[in-house]
Amino acid sequence: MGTAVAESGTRTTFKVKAMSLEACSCAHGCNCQFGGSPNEGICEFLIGYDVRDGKFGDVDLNGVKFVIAAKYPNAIHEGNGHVALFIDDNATAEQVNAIATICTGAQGGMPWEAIAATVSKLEGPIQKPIEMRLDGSRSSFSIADVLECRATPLINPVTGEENEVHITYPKGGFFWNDGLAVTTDTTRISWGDLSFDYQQKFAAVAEVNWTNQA
Amino acid sequence: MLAAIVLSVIAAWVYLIEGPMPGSMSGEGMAGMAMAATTVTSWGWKEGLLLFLMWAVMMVAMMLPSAAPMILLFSRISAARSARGDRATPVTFFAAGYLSAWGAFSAIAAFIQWTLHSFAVLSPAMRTSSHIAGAAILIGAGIYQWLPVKQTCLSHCRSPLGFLSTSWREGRAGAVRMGLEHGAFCVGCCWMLMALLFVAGVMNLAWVAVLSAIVLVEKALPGGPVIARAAGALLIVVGVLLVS
Repeated sequence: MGTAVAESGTRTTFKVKAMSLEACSCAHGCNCQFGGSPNEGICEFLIGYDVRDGKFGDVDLNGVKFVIAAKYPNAIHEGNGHVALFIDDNATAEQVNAIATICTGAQGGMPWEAIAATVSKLEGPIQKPIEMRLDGSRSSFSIADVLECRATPLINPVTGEENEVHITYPKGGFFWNDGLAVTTDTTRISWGDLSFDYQQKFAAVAEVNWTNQA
Repeated sequence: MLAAIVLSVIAAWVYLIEGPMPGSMSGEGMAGMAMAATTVTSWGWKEGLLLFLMWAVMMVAMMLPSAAPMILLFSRISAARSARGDRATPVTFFAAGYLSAWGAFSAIAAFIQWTLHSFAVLSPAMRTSSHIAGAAILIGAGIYQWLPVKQTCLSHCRSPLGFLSTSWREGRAGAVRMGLEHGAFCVGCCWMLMALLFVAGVMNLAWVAVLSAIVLVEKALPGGPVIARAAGALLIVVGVLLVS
């Protein structure tokens, strides 16, 4: 750790608020948040994050965009995950280090520390230009020639109108506390072993808050 | 860690098959008990202790396999911390907390059994003698499988990642407390299934195995909540057939 970094014991403390769009291979209602096991057996997902306010030690993370792509042979908690971390190429070296440290659980802090324990192959951080617009039910992000995730509102099957559906955890969820449930026109990636293309599966737009402070 | 879990489960099963059981003078376990089935002896504190031990070991044998995903995830987090020189809590504290919850359940179950025995409601083979009582427990357990409280506990038990990341506590005391909390949800999930042992015979190992399998399937396999309800429906049917 650098000398300019705030220390708490041996840890660099961080506190991050970000918007996220997550989209996965499951039917509506990501089963890792409800029933435990993915309904197609495997679990594949993309999550885009846009930091709205964040500090890692004294590194300002505001505005940093990054994407997690993952593939698990079973439920996430059963491990053997293959994960790639893409960070926008506008991020500074300090910011890249901070995001990579947070996402690998290397300084503690949930949920990343628990998720890191399920990863057996990690790629990155890979710096690429990331296009991201996280705002409501038409949020989207993409990396040219690599991945794309485009959300679209849930449609009421009876009236054909847009359905605004929220998933709320009054006592706190493991990714977020309140998510706007949406679906996607596309959730696709082509990056080595990480290769999938889903439409009309589960997706959610939510604010996340992470810290490794007690 | 996986090896430790497997060994513990095997040891528990060996105890259930070979270990001393109350009511069996020669300490031959279940086979001996079945032979001694015609003599009803009254139980003292020694039998009470043996009874508690038997329940506690039985819970290790039945519940530890399905708790393995949670315990393994915890141990991976601790291993990663140790590897990077961070403060790590040994997973044994979490496991101890978890098993304590089942220990408390075992104490209550043993006390109930001890009491029932002294009222001679149970036959020496530790089965509920009355068909009506047996049917009531079956139907009750079947209905419980469908109740929201069961499904809430089950969905909690099925999400190790969700539990560990939202309920994480630092330190040894924190790990014990997390284990207790997780164990409490498991007890909430499965106590009615365990009550079925009073119907089938507390040391009926075939039933112990079948119930362990049901618990494992509903907790660890995709479609578990549906299987849990199906098992419940089956129990209700068997219960009704028993009295009709």
